[in-house]
Amino acid sequence: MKFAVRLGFLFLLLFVIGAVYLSMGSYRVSLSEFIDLVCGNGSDDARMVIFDIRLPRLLGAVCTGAALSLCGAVMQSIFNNPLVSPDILGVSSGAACGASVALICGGSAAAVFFSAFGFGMAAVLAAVLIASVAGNVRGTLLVLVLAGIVVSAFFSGIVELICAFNPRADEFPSILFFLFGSMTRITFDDLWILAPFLLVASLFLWKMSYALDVISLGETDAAGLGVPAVRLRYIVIAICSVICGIYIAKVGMIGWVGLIIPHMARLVMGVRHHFLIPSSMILGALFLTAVDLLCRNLLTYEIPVGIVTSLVGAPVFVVILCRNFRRIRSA
Amino acid sequence: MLEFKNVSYGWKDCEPLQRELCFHLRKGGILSVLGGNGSGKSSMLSVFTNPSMLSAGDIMINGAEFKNLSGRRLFSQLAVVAQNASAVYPFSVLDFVLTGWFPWLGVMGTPGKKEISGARDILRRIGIADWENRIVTTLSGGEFKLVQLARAMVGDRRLLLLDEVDGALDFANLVRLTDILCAFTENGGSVVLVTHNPNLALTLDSDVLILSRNLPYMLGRAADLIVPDILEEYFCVKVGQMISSETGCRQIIPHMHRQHA
Repeated sequence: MKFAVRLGFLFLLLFVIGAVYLSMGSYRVSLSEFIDLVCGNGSDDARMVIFDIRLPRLLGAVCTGAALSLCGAVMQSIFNNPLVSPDILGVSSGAACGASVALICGGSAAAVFFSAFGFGMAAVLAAVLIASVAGNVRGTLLVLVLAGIVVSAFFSGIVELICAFNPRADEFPSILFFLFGSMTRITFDDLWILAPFLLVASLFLWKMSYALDVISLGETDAAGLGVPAVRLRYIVIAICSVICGIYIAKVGMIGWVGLIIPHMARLVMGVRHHFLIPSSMILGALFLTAVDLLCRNLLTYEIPVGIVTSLVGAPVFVVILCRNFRRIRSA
Repeated sequence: MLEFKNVSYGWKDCEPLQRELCFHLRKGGILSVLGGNGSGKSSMLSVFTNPSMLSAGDIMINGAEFKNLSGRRLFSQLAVVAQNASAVYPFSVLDFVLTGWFPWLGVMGTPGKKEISGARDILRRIGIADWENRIVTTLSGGEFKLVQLARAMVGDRRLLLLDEVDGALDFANLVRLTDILCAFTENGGSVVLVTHNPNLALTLDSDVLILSRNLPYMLGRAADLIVPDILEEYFCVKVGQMISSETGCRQIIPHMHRQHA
């Protein structure tokens, strides 16, 4: 019950921020105009700005924030490590590499998307393969994390190589645009692909909440309870990589959301995945919507969202860490 | 209940830690496993969570062959309390104990009213019902051991494999542990108890298995094996004993002063 109330409050907050998001910007709509528009009245200009331009972007931010936080929360659990982010296995570096390659080859938007997604998947696959060759039965998790770091470094190296030689100078801004991440390119057509994936994945993972609880207790505990930990871990990695892959391929690299939001969610709702998964998703949606609102309105020109998530995310994370440790010590 | 038939075990691609180990733990029995550091006590229990460590022989659990039991069917009959487990995420004690139901619920399951009342029942039996809402990451080492023990006892499992659960317990909780184990075995449960404390084996009047790297293992009753001669041979220290004038119980005392060769 307490949980439902808190979740309801967060939903309400999301609706309020969503309404502010829709009405604020270079074309400003007053509250009464906004209510008119929602009721189906108002000018055509305003309708176009609100529903054709801002609404898909708002929904995009909501879905992306929710997706990254969902993946972050469950990845932190299966790795039994609260410092893991959803791109720990190299999916975002791989995607950046794929996008850069497609961009310097002069590919279309669709080509960039599929190249980014494909390279992202290839990076994760490479990390998993390296880990299975290098790892023994003990410490597989650590080997997997290290393999992910190695793969990330390799693909980042390729991106830097491409930027350094810069064969087509006019494509350089597009590559940077991808590395910073941005919500500007999301359309309703994209949402029809992005949202269903997220919905199915989140419901599936939510159904597995209890198993995720058990596996988040660590390898020894999971083994002592008969959890098929290895199989389960790879299933979760596969789901999260696909989700992260398609979102990053669409909106570019957005850091920190997947790392800090699950921490906030644990503080607000506790560590049981039955509560952690929905609360992470909604907090992630709130966070990214709020950040994108800032990006659009803080300066006269737009700031890429990935930069602001880092600038806002880092200090927020410090505050959470300090509070969290104080709480645990005093308990 | 639990039978080892010529079991050899050890890390994969390494020399086995023990060879041709045979014992039979009856229903309602306790087997205390003693031995120096590195003699393969914990590894004997690791065989259950990591079957690749079993290099030869058969293990029978309730008449069924261990190799033929899958994870969930195996762990609904027995539970392992590991020596070095620690929690990363701040679960409440109740939620932690609830994870003990995994073998019955499975990957897609969720604990319901029956499981919650079962978990509360165990906490009450162990005498830590008021810890229900405490956070496992804030528990002391000994308190966490009791909570792990509670989780292992969930679901009326009949076989507990305990790896040095007594190591971190204070005197009061050590007495509590012996009470819990005695009640558990009186109800037909069986326990394998890896420990460094020979006096615990004497107090429980259990069967004893003494392992060593170099010497052949020994199997027998605590009263027969926990004597200075045997312990001195297996642990390479001088050992004395005393008989309490109040309880009449025999207790082992290792000579703790430094010995110069």
